[in-house]
Amino acid sequence: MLTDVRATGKSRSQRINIDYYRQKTWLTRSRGLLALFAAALAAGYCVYVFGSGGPSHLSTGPLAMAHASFENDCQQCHLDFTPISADALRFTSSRNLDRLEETCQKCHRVDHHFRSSMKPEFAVIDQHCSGCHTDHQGRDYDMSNVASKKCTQCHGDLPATCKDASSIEVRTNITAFTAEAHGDFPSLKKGDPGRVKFDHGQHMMPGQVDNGVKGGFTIAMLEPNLRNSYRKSAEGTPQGDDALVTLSCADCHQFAGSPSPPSVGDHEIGRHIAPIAFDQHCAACHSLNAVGKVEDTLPLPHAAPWKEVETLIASKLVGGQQVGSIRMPSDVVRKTPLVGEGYSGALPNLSSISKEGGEDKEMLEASVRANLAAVAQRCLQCHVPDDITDEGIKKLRASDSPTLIPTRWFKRGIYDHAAHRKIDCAFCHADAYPKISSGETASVATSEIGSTAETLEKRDDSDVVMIGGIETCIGCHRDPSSSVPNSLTDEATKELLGGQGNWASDACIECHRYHWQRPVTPMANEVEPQVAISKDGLP
Amino acid sequence: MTFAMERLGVFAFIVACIQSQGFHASAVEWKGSSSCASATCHGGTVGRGPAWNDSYSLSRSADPHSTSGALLYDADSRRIVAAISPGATDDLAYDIVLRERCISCHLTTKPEDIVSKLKLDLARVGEGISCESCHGQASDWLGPHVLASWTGPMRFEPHTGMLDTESLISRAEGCVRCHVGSRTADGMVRDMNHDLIAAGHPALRFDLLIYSDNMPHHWNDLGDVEQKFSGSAIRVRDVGRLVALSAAARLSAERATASLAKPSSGSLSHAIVPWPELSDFDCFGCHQSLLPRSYRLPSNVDGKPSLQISSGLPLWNAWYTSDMATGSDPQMLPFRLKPGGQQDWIAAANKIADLVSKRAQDAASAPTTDASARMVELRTKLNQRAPSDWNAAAAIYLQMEAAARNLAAQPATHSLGVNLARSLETNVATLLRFSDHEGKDDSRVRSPDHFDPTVFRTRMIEALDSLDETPP
Repeated sequence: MLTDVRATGKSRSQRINIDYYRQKTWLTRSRGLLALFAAALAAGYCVYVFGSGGPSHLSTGPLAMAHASFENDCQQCHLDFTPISADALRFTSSRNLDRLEETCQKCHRVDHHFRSSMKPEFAVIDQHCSGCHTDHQGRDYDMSNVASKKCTQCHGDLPATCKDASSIEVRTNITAFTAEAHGDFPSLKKGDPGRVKFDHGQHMMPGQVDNGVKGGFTIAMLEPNLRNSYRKSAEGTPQGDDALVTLSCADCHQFAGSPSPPSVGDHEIGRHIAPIAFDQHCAACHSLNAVGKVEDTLPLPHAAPWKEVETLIASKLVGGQQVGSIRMPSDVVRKTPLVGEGYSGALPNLSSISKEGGEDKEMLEASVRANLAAVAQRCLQCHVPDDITDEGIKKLRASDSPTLIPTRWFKRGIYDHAAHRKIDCAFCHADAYPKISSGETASVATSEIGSTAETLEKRDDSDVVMIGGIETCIGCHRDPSSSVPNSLTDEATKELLGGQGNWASDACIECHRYHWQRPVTPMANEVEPQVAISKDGLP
Repeated sequence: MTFAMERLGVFAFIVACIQSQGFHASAVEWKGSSSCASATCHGGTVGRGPAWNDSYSLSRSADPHSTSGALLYDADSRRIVAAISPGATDDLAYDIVLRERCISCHLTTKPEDIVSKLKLDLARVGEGISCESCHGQASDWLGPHVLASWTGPMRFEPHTGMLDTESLISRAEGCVRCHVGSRTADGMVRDMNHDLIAAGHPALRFDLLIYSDNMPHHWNDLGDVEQKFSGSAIRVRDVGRLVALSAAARLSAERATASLAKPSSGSLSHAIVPWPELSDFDCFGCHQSLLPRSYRLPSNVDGKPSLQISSGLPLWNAWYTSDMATGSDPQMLPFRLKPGGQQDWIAAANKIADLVSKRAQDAASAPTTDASARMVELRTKLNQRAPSDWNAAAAIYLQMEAAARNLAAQPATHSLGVNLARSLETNVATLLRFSDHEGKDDSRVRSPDHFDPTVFRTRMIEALDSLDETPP
């Protein structure tokens, strides 16, 4: 910059208006008016707040129905002058979060969600109940209806959320419920524990025999007191005794809530299947009426200790002989006499060469043992050897023993059979149905007899998980803006869907629950729950 | 109950017996009757469903075959074992005797079980004769036999392993493997010989019709197979008799063959086999009172059969041969003992076996024998002379009884048949019953020592005459 060397100091100072502060601007000229306006506005607002629409400006809205009783007791949740909104989380003190969590836990006894594994900035989100369950949204607001974005903020990038990314055992980038963004259900990939041998396909056939197979179980062959339970009706007419027993899924699989103790969200009927019980689901056809199965012999109890079974078999043999239903070795009773010996061929009892008092016992023992072995073989038709030992039986009969067949297969999600009750079971459980289609018959060439025998004998689907994958869900559970997939439009599928609509929410909370377990610390007057908690916090 | 299994642990026993039933390498692999026992297969409750559904249950509860194993531990069996093997005083020795002499018929078993020196598995003993003994080793047919396509003669082709229980001939052949005996069938010795009879085992007098009657029928009596089987009692009896005679002849040849073999250590099948084998012959030819008052032979005026006691030689397989039809057949008889002549005997017995087997085939496929014709034939012969002995009388009685069954099976002659059967049972059968020695002496052989052929002839003719008085 060039400087005018001839300018004096005075001349330079005169370039500045020294009383500039005395000059009025538009703002100073109108400040009174503005103050008056502000005062009027404030007064108007006060009139409004304390007038007709006021309360909504004093709080964010009415509490949800369940919390309505706390409507006038703000300090149940709030601390004075401390923000609680999720948007103000950074300004929220830990004291405030502790109080809020404690308040909620008074009624909602749920635990954290892997909080200890989260980085601190995510751990506070976990602790902040109202971050997901925002109240003051109106009486009818469902606070449990948590938006999926609340889940995907972490599950969209789990490594960024967790302290130790290498410990994550689940998919780390779930952003939506699609095959690509969610992936198939890992619980179904772990396989079936396979401890009960069974063939669903055979049991689903009329008479429990395949097409092209002889025989067939009829109503008349069932235990009399259970026949009506298995009669199906055709056009209102119940099946007769000669009709083939035709089982439906519900004959064995009934909806149930959580057996005990319930985990949060899975206690509703339909979210579990009642355990299969021999006496309820099997005995009509497979009663353990061993030892000459005649009408007047009582069935053996299922899963009884072997010593008890042995005693019962012995008494059935002796008792059966007494009433004439069981033939014992020494019984020589002929319908048609032999020419020389007549009706009874017993040899004269001439001497006592036999062991003193021992022969009857040994004969009975042989019969008992043969029947015990036969019973054991029957047990092994369904059970693995370890489960039919006395030790195994005792273990399985313990009240805290898990069922041999899982009552719920999804370990991380919840499936509600009751909510899907209109849908045919075959839609998701196609593998449980017979493989031989209608009209197709099994046959065998004589040259194939050996291999066919092997095949037919070893039919057992206990190692097959018969639950459809994510593909059975995403047709309906999809983004509302997407169109109906072609897979749901054919008539056969429509029939399977039972007239149910072909769209359902794809929100995470449809299947998943954030809070899984009850607090480790029992509440007052409560016995500590005996639920086994795995290391990942899942029951 | 203080069974030994208390000491062993029941489950250990169960596992052991399961393993013993089908998991060790062997040419013979029994599946075991438990494989049939499912409630939806053959283990249903008796009487609730079709016959096939309760066949296992019925067999287990009422069939003497299922208790034939346990019977080996009754007082009679212990007495028999003590007699044939006095040294078998402990449990193991007793079981070894059972293995060598008894289980080939009394259990569903295989050759290696016979020679084993271990104690018997009581669970298998308790199972007795199980399904596969008569229906064949099931390894290859257990699966396919449930198929609707499993029908017809292909089921019984040798490679299936399933034995034919439907044809009259094959059913009889299945029975005679034990109820007559064999020294070669299934690779085992089933030789119920004179030693065992002397020790107390009842002599074998197989009759297919009576034995079928006395089994609980675990089959559908109204089905085509059984209707065909029981369509003519006369045919069943004739065929059964011929098949049994063929088996007896074959066994006789096998005994002669075995008697020539050099004795060696090892199983009983290689031990010294006596010759002649007395059980080939009529028991009562020798076992009869020699007192003059008891020595009842048909008088010569009634005609002398080609071979009978009076000639000094007992009848060969009298139970099967002593009837009027075969007694006069020069091709069938006589068999005369020729000491040292086993080779001739073997050839002759085998020839007889083949001949009789052919006759059995012919009899099985022949049209139903007319009951009246058979009755006339028998009456004619009875008019000519009294039966030569008890065996001949029994043969006549059985043929007449079969004729009565045939009559009773037809609506038009039902009452005639029933009356004849009743008359035979009341007036004739009692003459053939063995004396009851119980508590009277120490005889172990029950015999018809009171039997009088002339009384028999009179009663039989009276029974036939009574038919003429029966209103139609």
